[in-house]
Amino acid sequence: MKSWVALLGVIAFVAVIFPTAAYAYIDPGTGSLLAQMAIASVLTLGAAIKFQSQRVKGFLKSLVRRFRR
Amino acid sequence: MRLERSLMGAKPSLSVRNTADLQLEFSSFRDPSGFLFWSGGEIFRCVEQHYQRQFQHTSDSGLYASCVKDGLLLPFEHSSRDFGLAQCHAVLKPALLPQITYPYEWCFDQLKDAALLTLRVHLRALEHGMLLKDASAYNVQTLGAGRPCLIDHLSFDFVAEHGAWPAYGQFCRNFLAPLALMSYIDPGLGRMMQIHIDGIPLELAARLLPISTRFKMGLQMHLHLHGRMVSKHGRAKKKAKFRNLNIEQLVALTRSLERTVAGLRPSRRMTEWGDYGSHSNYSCRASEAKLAAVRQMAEQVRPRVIWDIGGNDGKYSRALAGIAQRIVCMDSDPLAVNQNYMACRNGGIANVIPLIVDFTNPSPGIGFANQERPALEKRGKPDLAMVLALIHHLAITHCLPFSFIARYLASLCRHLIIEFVPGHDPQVQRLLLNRKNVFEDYTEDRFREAFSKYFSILHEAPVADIDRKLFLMQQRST
Repeated sequence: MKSWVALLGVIAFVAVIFPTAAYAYIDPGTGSLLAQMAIASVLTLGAAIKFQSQRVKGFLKSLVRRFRR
Repeated sequence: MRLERSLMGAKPSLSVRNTADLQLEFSSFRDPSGFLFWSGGEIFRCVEQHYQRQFQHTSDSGLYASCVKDGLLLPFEHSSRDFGLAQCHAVLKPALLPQITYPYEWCFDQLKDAALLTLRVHLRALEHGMLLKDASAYNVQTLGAGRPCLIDHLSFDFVAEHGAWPAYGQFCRNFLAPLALMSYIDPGLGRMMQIHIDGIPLELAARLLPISTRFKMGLQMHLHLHGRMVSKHGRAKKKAKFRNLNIEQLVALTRSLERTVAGLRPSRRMTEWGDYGSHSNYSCRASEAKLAAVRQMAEQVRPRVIWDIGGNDGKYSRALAGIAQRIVCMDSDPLAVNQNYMACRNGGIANVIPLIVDFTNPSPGIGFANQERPALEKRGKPDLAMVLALIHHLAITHCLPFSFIARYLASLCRHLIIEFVPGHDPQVQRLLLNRKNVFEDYTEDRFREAFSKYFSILHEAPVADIDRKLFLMQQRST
């Protein structure tokens, strides 16, 4: 959960510092491609962190169970 | 003879042996993979030779069949007719749509259903090594409330030929931005799609949305950050470096969009007509009597297509669903239309099509040459128009003379059911409460006089319990 909050913070910070001017010669395709690459990386990283944290949790739980026995 | 592919000549013109009865569908000039044309009142789709590989793979992999089976794609069959079109690898005959509608006429939930359908088709395509190369809201039409389907059979392309999802930006402009604006600001902002035919620019949507949306993970990523990157990199002078996304990343991106869209809720803002049922002055008995009279009149003319103009939450349209093939229920209030859409969707009423249309300002022709997306009346006219409890709004609120209303209605339909609301009606008095009454002409006699010029009155019936009158009229033959 904390990692998601941190990621959101980073994204919000990046979003705030980018300039906002609009121009007639803007090609929306380039920005969309770069945006989805960044977002897809964040999403898969988030999924990987979640998966790994679940594995660690599972491992720790099994250790606790073994210790109690 | 030659059949011109587009007005601009951007595409090669067609060499055909016999084009006497072929007519190009204007709106398909943007598609590089094929085009639509009409012949003998039926519509066909040409699959261009250079799209052959993609078309064959989509067919052979079972993607077409699975999408059609699950109602995601408009059914089609292969046409065996020889049209003499040399550049066609195949000619398809798609099923005819009941009514063409456009995203700026859709309510929130209809646009949301269309967005989720687009993502479902894209995910299905990814399972088959393909993707959706277009995610235009105009590629989705409805087969009935809650039954959206993709109508562009040539939107599929190989994943391997793209480093990322080429339609990502288009999806966000066509679906995510208007949905977010309708959800967070005003349910009527879907009409912005009428101005921005390629979808609402993300930078503009981001500026309009409240700051709270920056703290929603999905909207922050796909709308705010995306908008900033479009603005920043769109004017870059250097060639950008791209890295290919793998299937897992494309699926993750699509699932994230799906969660973001699914999480958006219709605006709770009350509108004038959102709670019409509790504000109208109809008693239960009057309401039932009016419905019975309207049904009797409608059955008398046996209409195929009905337009319920100012149909509000669609109560009368749904009640008459059994007597017509199709009822287009239009109202200017987006919340009332949304209520109607949900009632039809939940009730499984497929032949009532709720639309956001303002009768005093109906959808015009837009896009290139004002022909790309035709005006509402160019997309089919009704046999019967119903104008119930609307005349006082048109005449008093919008200052429309009876003769203007009568002439326009006569240009639309052969039969008309219209309700006259007299000047002493509490609803009319409410309209006149804080304004000078300059409507001396608002009388039943003037109403009859104006409408009699264009229509003959077949039947009239007072509504029980309330001093209003229903008229069944037939257009005078010219």
